[in-house]
Amino acid sequence: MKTFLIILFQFLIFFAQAQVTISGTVVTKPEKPVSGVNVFLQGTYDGTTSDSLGWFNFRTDATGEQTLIASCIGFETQAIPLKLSINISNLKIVLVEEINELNEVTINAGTFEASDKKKSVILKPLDIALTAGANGDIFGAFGTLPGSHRVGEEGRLFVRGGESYETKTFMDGMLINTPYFSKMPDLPTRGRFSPILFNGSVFSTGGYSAEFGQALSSIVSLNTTALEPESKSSISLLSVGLQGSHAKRWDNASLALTGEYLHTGFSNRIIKQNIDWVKDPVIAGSTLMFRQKTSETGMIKTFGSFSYDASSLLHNNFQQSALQEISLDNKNVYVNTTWNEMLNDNWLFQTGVAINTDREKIRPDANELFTTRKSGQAKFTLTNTSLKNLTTKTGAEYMFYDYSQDIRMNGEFQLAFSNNQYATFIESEVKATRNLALKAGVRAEHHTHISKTNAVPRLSAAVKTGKYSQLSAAYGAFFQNPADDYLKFSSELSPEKSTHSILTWQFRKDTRTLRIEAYYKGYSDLVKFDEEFSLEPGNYTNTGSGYSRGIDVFWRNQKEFGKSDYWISYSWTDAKRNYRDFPVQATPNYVSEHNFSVVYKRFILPLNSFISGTYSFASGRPYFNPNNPEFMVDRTKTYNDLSIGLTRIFYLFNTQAVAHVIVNNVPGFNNVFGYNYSATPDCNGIFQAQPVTPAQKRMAVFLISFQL
Amino acid sequence: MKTTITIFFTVLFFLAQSQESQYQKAMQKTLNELNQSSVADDFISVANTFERISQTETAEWLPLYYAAYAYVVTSFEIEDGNQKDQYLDKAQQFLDKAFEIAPEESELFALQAFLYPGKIMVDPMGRGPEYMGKIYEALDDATRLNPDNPRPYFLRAITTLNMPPEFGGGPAAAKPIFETAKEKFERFQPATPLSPNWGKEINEAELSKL
Repeated sequence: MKTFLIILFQFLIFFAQAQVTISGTVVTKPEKPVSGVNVFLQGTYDGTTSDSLGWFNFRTDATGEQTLIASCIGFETQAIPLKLSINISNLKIVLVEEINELNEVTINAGTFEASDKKKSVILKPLDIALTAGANGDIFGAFGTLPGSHRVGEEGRLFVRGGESYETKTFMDGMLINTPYFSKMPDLPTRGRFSPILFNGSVFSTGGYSAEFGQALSSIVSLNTTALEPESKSSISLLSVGLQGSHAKRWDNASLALTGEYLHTGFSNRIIKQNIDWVKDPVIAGSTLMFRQKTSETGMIKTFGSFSYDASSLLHNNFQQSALQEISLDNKNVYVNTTWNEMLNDNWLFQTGVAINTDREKIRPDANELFTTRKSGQAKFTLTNTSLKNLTTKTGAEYMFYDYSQDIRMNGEFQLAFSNNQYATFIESEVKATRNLALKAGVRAEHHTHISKTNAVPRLSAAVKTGKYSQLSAAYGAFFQNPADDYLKFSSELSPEKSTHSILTWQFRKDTRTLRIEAYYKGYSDLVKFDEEFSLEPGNYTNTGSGYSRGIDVFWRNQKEFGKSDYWISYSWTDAKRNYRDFPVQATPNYVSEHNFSVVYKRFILPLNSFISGTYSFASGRPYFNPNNPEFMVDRTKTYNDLSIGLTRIFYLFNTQAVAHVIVNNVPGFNNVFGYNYSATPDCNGIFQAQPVTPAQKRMAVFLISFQL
Repeated sequence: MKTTITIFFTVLFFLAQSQESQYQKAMQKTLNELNQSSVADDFISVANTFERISQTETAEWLPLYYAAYAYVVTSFEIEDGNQKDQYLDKAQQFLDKAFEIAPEESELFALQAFLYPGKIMVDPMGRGPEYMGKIYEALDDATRLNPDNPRPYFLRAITTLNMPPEFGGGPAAAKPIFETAKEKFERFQPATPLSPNWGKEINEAELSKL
C-alpha cells in the first residue's frame, strides 16, 4: 500500500513538476528585432513565435539537455544547446541572413542578364520579346539598354563607342558568325533569330568572361529553351507574311520546327516608302530545334536554321550622282549541337560544334560581289565546383574561318583568306566572404592567318556595400582580328586591341533597381589606311587608336503584374578615334553623345491586353561635311522615336489567338541619320548633301496568331 | 487500498489519455487560432505552431497541411513578388513532406491547386502557361481521389471566374461550378474533427455575388 502511494506520488510529482519558462529576443546583425521567428525546443511542441520586438516567451515541461531551435524565412536556422532546470530569461538569439540569389554578392559589371529562372536578373526573356520599338528583334531590345547607341540606318548593336563588328553573338556558348540578315546601304537590318527561341540571355557591354574572345566591345550570349513543354502548333498571319510552328514533345525529347515567309510588297504599298523598291524584300526561313535528355542532368541540343533573303532597290548614289539598281540575295545556314552533362556532383562538362555558311550576292547595276563566309567551331569546357565557394571553368576551342569574295567590277577579281583559331581559357571565381566575390581569368589565342599568339587577362570583383547595394568592377584586355574588309586586302595586319575598365554600383530593393556604371575603354592597333579598297602594300596598318568613356544609368521599377512596369536608360558617351582614313582623332559617325530611352509596359487585365511603349532619344551624330574644313564636327539633329505595341489575347473559333500591332515613330518625327555628299562640288564650289533617312516615316506591322 | 489503486489507475489512465490526445488538443487549439487569424502575423504564428507539431508527429500529414495552408494565405497579403515566392516555396516544402506521408490524399492536391495561383501572380506572363496546366492537373487528381471533396470544385470555380470569358471563363461559366461546390460543401462531413473543412463560407459569398 505504502509503496503504491509512494509510486503514485512520485508520478504526480513527476507530472506536476514546475515548468520552466524560456524567454528572450531574436535579433539580426546589426541589432534589429526579428518577428515571426519560430522558437521552440527540438522534439517537443513547446515553443512560440517572436513578436514585433523580437520578444519570445514560452513554458516547457522538458528538462535537462535540450536544443532550442530558431527558424524563420530568410534566415539561417539556429540551434542552441540549453540545459533546462530553472527559468531562462533574456536569452539573445542572433540570426544570420540566409544567402539567396537576391542578396548574394554577384559580379555584374558590364552585364545585363535576362532569365526566367534566376531571380537576381533585371530582365525577363519576355521583356526582350515584347519591347516596343524593338520589333521582336533581340538586338533591337538590347538597344534600349544603356551602353548601346541608336544607329537607325544600321539596325545592329553599337556598344560604347565601338563599331557593330566589335559585338559577337553566341548561342548556347557557340559563336553565331552572321547573326544579322544582309543589309542594303543606308537601310537597317535585324537579327536572324526570334527572341522566343531563347529563355535566357546575357548582354555584356564590356569586361566579359575569358570564355569569350574576338570581340573588342561586347558579347550577346543567348541560351536556347530546354524541352518544349507540350506538343502544339501555331500559325501566324502578318501584314508582311506568314509564320508557322509545330512542336512535338516526347518523354525525354522534343522537336520544334518553325517556318516563315515574309514579303513586304503589300505593306510597302500601304505605308509610304522613301525607297524605290524594284523587288520588295523577301525573307524565307526555317528553324529546327531538337532536344534529348541524356540523363537527369544532361541534355543534347541541336539547332539548325536556314534563311534566304533578297531585295532590290534603286539607290540614289549621291556620291556619284547616279541612280543605281542594287540587288541583294543571301543564303545562310547555321547548325549547332551542344551537349551538357554533370559528370558527378563537382564536374560539369559542356561540348559543342557549330557550322555556318553565308553566301551573299550584291549586284550594283551590272557589277557583282559574291561573298562566301564559312566558319566552323568545336569547343569544350569543364566546370569544377568541388571546393566550397570556388568555381573554376576551363576550356578550349578550335575555329576555322574561310572568306572569299568574287568581284565582277571592271574585270574579275577574287579576294580570299582563311584563318584557323586555337584558343584556351581558364577562369576562377571565389566568394571570399559573404560580401566579396573575386574572379580572375586568362585567355590565350593563336591565329594562323596573322600568325599571332596572345594571352590576355580578365579580372572582376564585387563587394556588397549594403543590404541592397553592391559595387562591382571589371578589367580586361581584348583582341579581335581586323574586319574581313581589311583582312581580305592585307595579311600583314595584327589584331586590334581594347582594354576595358568598368565600375558599377547597383542598388536593388523590392521592385526597384538602380544601376550606375562608369567605364573607360582604350583602343589601340586599330586599322588605318590611306585609301579604302586597295591592294597596295603598306596601305593598311595597325596604327589607329582611340578611346571611349562614359556613364550609363539604368532605373527599373517592376511592379506586380497588371501595374505599370518601366525602365529608363541613359548613356553619356565620349568616344574619339583616329582610325580608317581619319586625318585627325574624331568622334565616329555612329556615336551620339547622349542616348536616352524609356520603355513602358503594362498588362491591362480586364482587356486581356498588353501595351508597351518605347521613347528613344539620341543627340545629334557626327557626319563628314566636305564643305567644312574641320573634320567630323557637324552634327545631325537629334533623333526621336516613340513606338507602341499592342497585344490582345482572345478566343476565336475555340482556339486561342493573339493579335499584335506595332507602330514605330507614331508622332512622325523626321529623323536624319546622316548625310551623303556628292563627290564633286557644284559650280559654286559647294558639295551638295542628301540626308540619310529611314525607309518610311512610320512603320506598322500587324500580326494575328492562332494556337492550333 | 482499493480506492488508492483505483485512484492510481485513474491517474495513470488519465495521464496516458492526455499523452495520446496531446496531438489532438494541440491541433484543435491551433486550428481555432487559425480560424481567428486575420493578418499575416497571426498566420505565421499559427504556421509556426503547426510546424512544431509536425516535427514531433512525423506520421501525420495534417500539421504539414495546415502549415502550408497558412503560408499560402500569408502570401496573398504580400505584394513583393520575391517575398511572395519565398512564402510559397516554404508552403511547397511542407506540402511536399505531406505528400510523402499521404501521397493519395485528395486534400493535398486541392491545396496544391490553391498554391499555384500565387506562383502565377508573381510572373503571370512567364509562369501562367506552365502553372495553369498544373492547376488543372492537381484539381483533376483531387477530384479523382475523392469525388465528394468540395474544395477542388470551389477552387475550379474560382479559377474559372478569374479567367476571361474568351477563354471559357467568367461569371456565367463559373456559376454552375460554384453551385456544385455548394452542394458538395453541404453534404461534406470531415473524416475527423481535425480534417480540412474550409471554403464553404467563401464559396457562398462568391456565389451570392454572381
